Amino acid sequence: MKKLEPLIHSEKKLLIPYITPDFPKRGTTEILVKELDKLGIRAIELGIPFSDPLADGPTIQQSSLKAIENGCTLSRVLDLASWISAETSLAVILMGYVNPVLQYGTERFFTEASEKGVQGLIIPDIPQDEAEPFVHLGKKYGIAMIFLVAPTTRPERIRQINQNSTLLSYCVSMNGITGNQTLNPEFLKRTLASVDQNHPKPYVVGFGLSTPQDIRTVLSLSKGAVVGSALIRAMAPFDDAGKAAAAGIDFLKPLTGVLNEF
Amino acid sequence: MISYQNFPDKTGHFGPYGGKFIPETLIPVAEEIEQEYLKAKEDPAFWDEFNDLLKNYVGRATPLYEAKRLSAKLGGNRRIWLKREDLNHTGAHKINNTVGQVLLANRMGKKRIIAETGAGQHGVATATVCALFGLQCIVYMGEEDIHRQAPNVYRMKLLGAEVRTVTSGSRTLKDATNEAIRDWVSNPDDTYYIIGSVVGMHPFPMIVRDFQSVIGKETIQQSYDQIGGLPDVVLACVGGGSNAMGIFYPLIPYSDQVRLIGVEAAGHGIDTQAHAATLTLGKPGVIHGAMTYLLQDAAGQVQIAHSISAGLDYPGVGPEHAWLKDQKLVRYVHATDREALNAVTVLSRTEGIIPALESAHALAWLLEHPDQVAENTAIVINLSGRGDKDLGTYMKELNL
Repeated sequence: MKKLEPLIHSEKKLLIPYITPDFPKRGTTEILVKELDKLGIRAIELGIPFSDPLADGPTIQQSSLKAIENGCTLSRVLDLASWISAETSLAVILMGYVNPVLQYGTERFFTEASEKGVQGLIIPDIPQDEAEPFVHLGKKYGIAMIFLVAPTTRPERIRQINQNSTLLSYCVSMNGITGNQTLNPEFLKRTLASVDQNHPKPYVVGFGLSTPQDIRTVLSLSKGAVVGSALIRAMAPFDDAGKAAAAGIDFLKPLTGVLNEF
Repeated sequence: MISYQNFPDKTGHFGPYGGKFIPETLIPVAEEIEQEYLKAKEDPAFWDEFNDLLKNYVGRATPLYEAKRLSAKLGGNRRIWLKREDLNHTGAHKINNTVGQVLLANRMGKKRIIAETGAGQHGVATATVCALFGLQCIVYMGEEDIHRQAPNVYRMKLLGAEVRTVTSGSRTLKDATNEAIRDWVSNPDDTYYIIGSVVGMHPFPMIVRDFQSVIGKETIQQSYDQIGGLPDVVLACVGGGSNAMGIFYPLIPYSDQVRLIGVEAAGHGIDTQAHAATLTLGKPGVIHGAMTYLLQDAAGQVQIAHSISAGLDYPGVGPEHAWLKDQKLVRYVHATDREALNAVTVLSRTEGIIPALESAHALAWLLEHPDQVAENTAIVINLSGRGDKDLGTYMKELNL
């Protein structure tokens, strides 16, 4: 957590791109992260592709299937994380569904992730009810477990989630899946107010963010903003790793501009 | 001693299986359903309404029918009884569950109902109860299944439901279920998800089992009346496993006297890639919110199941089946597409009953392996559905 901790404790706001690895081509991610580093991005979510991503809309589903086709396994994701940690200053947070982790072997996964410099882990289909082994292994291997809080989450549960989350929690901006709806600032304000009353914790907010105005709204209310589907949509049309990465950077530039306002 | 009827535990687990592997948004919704169900369970008025609908609307109790010509064909004085779930309104056991769940949705004041469907039987059963109670109904169905089961698509529409075509992933039941769950995540406040089998996150495997267990309860009573005691063997097909859980569950305390056998779909054969024999060849993993046996590759990606029968074409299975398998309380076997088609012809011509392809798998295993059941025994087969919906497939596959 060496890289992530100072980022969370600093005054600076975070813009966190979600990246489907090896999408749309192998080689894209390496080019993209180098550029992100130059752009002033400090942390990324690196996806672990899964065939049946329940909390994701069609954009991330399709990019995940493409990544799987491109040969992107969990062990490849860990190698990429290791490479990114060595070659850039980015803090890598892995984000993926539980089944590939279980098949890899949960403890083996934590051991290797820790060795390869992974800073945090988000597993959207591990709610508190099933979280115990992950909380334990996260502590043991020094990987921040970042749990989700949703607009439907009740106060006593928000407290429990924030106690189990390390460093920060992830607030889902809406009732919905990734990439499908547009951000409703009033709804988000109400959600974050309720969340804040119950055990304050730094939050990153994700789901449905795509415009500079979305990022501005979110950063005025929280520690960080995650942008995923919109970035993937910008990169999807390109068959060439360099062009896809460049399209991703072009998309992100106006969003990173917002960081200077805070 | 463990009572295997006391599962799931308070956290929704059957041993290591089951649970709630779902996005946080759905946790309060799943908890709300569980609490409402536990209240309804203790409310005699709830069961009065349920039983009244099952009797006067669905047409229960379904007969336990002795299939004498079929028994003679099998030989060895093995007497076969058919539990005639095919005679239910809408043609299958699925409606037992949708009646129960729509009553639960009504208690919770939910006005928008969603469901997934494979063969279309659960979709039709859901559209039916929504028509009965005047509720909005949206059914998710894979594009491939929409082609395979065209008459059921039309039935759902006639009943006033909206059928949404699912084009993601395998375009069958697995992805229809993903899409239904995504809809639910997006509409947690006003929507009730009537899941169609004993699969998915807690409390669904428990609730669906309980509503379907009317099959087993009737079977026990009818067996005493007609066979003079419990049967020696009970057979049911297993896809997600709701008809099998329905007939097995009340018999679990008697599993030392009654052999319970679940028959999975072996598709082209279990030595090929094209099968749906999850309990036979799968490994524990997480699908649709539950830990259970799962067809998956070494990297943990879910594999696409195959069965000629759209209702068995599912890479997961109910978590309670996973538990019953590990505890050796139920034996799980399998039958191929061809064997099931042969059983369709046999049952049609010996008894004048055209079965659904799903149900034919249970009979198919018995016809292929008569030596696995002792002579002079009483066998009950859960005939979970009728074959009307499969006529298109039969016309294509059976050269008459």
